[in-house]
Amino acid sequence: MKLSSSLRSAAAALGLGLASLALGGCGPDFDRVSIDGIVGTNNGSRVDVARVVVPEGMVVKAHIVAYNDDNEPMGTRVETRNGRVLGTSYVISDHDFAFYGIGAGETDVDVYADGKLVLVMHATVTPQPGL
Amino acid sequence: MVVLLAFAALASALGACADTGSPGPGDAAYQSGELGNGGFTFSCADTNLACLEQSSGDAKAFPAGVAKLSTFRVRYVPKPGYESTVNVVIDDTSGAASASAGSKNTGSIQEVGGKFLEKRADGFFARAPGLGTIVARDAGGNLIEFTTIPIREAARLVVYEAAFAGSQSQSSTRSITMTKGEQKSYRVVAQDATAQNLGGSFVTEWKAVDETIATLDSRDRGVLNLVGLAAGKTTIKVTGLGLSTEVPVEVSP
Repeated sequence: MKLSSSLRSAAAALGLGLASLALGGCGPDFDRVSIDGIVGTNNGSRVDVARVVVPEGMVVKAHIVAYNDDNEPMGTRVETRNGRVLGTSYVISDHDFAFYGIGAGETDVDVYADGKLVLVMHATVTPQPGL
Repeated sequence: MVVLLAFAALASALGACADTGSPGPGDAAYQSGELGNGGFTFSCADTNLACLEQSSGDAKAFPAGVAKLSTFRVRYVPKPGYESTVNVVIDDTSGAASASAGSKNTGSIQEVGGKFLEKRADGFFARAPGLGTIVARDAGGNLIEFTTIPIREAARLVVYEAAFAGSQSQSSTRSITMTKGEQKSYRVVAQDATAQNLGGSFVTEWKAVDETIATLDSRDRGVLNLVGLAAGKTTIKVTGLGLSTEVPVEVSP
C-alpha cells in the first residue's frame, strides 16, 4: 500500500510528536518539599514549608529535601532574597541547610529543586528576647 | 606476679601521662555544639588583661557567660572520630587548622550578624547583651557546627587573690592586710547582677589612693602586684568596663 506524500509527512510529524511527548511527559516532575530535622527551636526558631522564623543573631538548621513524583530526592538548594536580614548556607550534612538571623526584618527564601524554583518561604528575623 | 604488677603499673603510668589532646564531651572546657559535630573551647583574647581564667591556653571551664565589651577567643574541636571528616580544628582569628589536625587552612569561625558579637583581629568582641552565636564553617562556607554564648552586662568588679582559679564558690578579697615590704598579687573579675562570674578579657586600671602607703609594682597576665611601702591605711581602686570597686588596704610596720 502506498501512502501519498502529504499523508506520509503527517504520519511522521504525528509520530515525532508522540515520541517527543512520551519522552518529555514520562520524566519525573517535582512533587513536594519535605522539612524535618530542625535544630535550634529552643531559641524560638521555626522552619516549615510556609515560613522561617529565627531570632536575630541566631541559627536554625533544617533538613530540606525536594522530592519528585517518583519519590526520589532532587537536588535542593535554598536562597535568601535579602542577606542583610536572613543568611542561608549549606550544612556539611546532606540536604541540611542553615538559616542565620542577620538583622531583624522580613524577607523570602526561595527553594529550588534541580535548579527550578518550587517554593517560596516567608522569613522573619525577630528581635532577640532579652536575657 | 611481681613482674605483672610492675608491668601494669608502668602501663597505667604511661596511660596517665599520655597527651589526651583537645578537650571533648564531658570536659568542663568543652561546650558541645548544637549539631552534634563537635564543640568549642574558650580562651582569653589577651592574657595581659583581666580575665576569668588567666591562662594562655583553653580555659578549664567554658564560661556560662561573657561580659559585654570584653573580648575572647574560641576554638572549634571536631567530635572524636570526626576529625578526618571535617579535617580541621579551627582557630577563631587565623581560621587555620591546628598543627595537630593538619596544615590545611580549611575553615573559619564567625559570628552571626554583627549586633551581639563582632569578630576582630584578636578574637570576638562582645558588643551587646544577648545570645551571641558562633559558627564553624568549612572552606566552602558550609556550616559544620554552632553554639551560643550569653553576653551579659557586668554589674560589678570583684577582686580576688591572683591564685583565683575561676571558681564560683571562692571568696573574693574584701580587704587587704600586709606588712611593710610585703608583696601580694591580685586580679579582678567581672560579675553580672546575679554574681555570676563572666568570661572575657577587658582593660582595667588600678590605683592606690595613697601611694606612700602601698603601690602597684607591676602587672603580668592581668595580675596586679601590690607592695606595702609604709605603715598606714589606704585604698586601691580598680576600674574597668565602666565600673569600679575599692578595696581597703592596711599596711603594718
